[in-house]
Amino acid sequence: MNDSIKKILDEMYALDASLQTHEKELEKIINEILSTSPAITIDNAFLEQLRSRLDMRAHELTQTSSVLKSRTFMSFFSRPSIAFGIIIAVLVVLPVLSVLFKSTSQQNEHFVALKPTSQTNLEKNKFGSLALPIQDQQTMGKMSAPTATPSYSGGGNVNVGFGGGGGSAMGMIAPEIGTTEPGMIGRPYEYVSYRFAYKGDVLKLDEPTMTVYKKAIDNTSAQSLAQAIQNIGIATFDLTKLQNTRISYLTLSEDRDRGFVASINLDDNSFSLYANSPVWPPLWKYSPEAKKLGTPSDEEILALADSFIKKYNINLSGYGKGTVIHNQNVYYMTPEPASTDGTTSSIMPIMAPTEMNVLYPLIIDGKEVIDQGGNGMGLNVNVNIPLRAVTGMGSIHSQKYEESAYDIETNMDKILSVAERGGMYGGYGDGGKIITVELETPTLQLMYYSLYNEKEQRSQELYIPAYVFPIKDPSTYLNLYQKYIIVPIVKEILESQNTVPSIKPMIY
Amino acid sequence: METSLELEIIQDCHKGNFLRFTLLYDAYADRIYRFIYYKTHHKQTAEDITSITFTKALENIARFNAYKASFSTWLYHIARNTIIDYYRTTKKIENIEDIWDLADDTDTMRDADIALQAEKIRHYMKELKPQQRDIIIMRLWQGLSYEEIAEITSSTHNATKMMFSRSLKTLREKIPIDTFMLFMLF
Repeated sequence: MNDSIKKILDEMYALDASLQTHEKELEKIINEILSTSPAITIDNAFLEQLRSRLDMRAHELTQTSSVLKSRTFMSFFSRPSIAFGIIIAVLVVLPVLSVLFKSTSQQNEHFVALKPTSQTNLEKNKFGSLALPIQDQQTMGKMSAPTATPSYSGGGNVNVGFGGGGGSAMGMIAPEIGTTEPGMIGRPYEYVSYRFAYKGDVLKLDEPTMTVYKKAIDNTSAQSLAQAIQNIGIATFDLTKLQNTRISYLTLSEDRDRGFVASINLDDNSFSLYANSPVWPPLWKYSPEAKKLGTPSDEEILALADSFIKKYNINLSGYGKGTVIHNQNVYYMTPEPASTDGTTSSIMPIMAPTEMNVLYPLIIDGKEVIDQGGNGMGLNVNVNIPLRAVTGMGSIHSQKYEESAYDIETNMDKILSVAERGGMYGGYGDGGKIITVELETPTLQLMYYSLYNEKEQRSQELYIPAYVFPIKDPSTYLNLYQKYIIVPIVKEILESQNTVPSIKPMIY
Repeated sequence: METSLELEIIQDCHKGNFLRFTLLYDAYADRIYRFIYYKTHHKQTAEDITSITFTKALENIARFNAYKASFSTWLYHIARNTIIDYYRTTKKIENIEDIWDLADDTDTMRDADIALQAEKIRHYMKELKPQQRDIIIMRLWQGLSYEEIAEITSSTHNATKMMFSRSLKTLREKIPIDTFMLFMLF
């Protein structure tokens, strides 16, 4: 009898000792149920698609919520002087927007373009320690690691963990189907553990320091706007009593056919655009004509996105050429309703893509920016397939960066040992069948790194140098969903990960 | 996922900021999908119901009271109810909770390999009430602890353990030993 079954039976005997006389029968029942446990292989493409759809809906709900709040706020305005105040506010906001929308042929001091605003002698460690406190590293070990997600508020400096391309290095591993193996609860499948081996070129870094970039926060517009609004008297509340105010978000809605909701974040001078749903046809529904057209080619999708960028005169300084991203497709699934005469019941439609994304990658200092999963970051343009139209864009931001020099790891053995272990928070645990996967020559890129500072109660958005090791032929491995192994090379970040326990995958 | 983080995300949603909901999805998607699959035996159906479960959770999270029940409990309830709705809508049969309640020859989609596996224990599962089946599935197939199952089923640790024990006792009493032996030969 294996240990797991014994444990289950002992627990039962503790409740009812008489069951011991039927041990053989009970053991057979438990064994039978355990051995017929279905071997499930979850389709990671499905999980990612659903995640994208939920993320989009979450954005819509958040926007709707902020629109409702702004409307509630605006309803307080009942005096004619308010109109004058609003005009002042718009005049303050417009300069912010104009920075984001100037012609690409014009030079603009706000934009970094392909080279950073230079500081001839960079201050060292200007942004403080980039390493994680121990309790947050351990906390991070229990979280999944989504791509490019803002940090959460917690103790000290906190970050979402690194794992490599495609998602978390823990918790999502579906072992390969195989023979029964004794384990805690009699695992009916074979556990697979991946190891990585570097087979690329010899690596060398000569400089002891490299530049870390931090997105600069400029609240002057937000503060000016708040002051302009504050001078307006309203019926029920004296806004002048509020101190040191600033306006963080503004939302503008277009009430026209296929209009947009523009979301302006005055804290970080960023801008996003979403379809104003009530004035659009259903975004998920394929008309008979759209079904005939089918899914457009990448060239067609890119042309739609480029045309939108050009129409709205969006300044793409600091961004690279657009590419269609296939793993971000959004699928909507709306059941066809049952017929009113009861002859047909509600049925689920065939899944078809309703949205595809075009990414214009963010480029800083000539390097493309990636998120912690190895995916490109930058300006995303959503192209709706049934309507053949752009339905969203997000987010474009003013590219002002502070810079600081940080020590980097120049010992390649240390960097490669982290890479071969699966990245910063990678690792597939021990035991079971071991498969070695080859890593190819890396590129040096800038990785988005969000660090929450408890003292300031806000996140610092940083871009740190990192090696991106491509995995050779990742699709040949059944449960390996990563495409890259990411290793940041800032020394104190690498040193801090040495205290993180290796992650044990969650087995179900 | 740490309870404090979960609570924080839910509080954000209550304030109208839903952007971190996908962290909850990341934490529970795998487990919920597997639970649904164990009760439907069909990949496409499980994917559809998983989508509906999380969509419902997102749309209604602003009304969810995290001090009354845990998020996982709520999510499992949504999943179970969605499975029930699915079968009662598509099959138009009352008293259907999941695939185990359907007769073998019922016209319903099943993955071929799981259908074969499921046959071996169908006679067990049919003897059990839906809640007992869920506890068996969660304990033996998903490897959840009694504490976790108790939380999900809004019960206590001891009550869950008792129900599990009684479920196995029921199976032992209802399936005669010679059937076991005959069964074991195959």
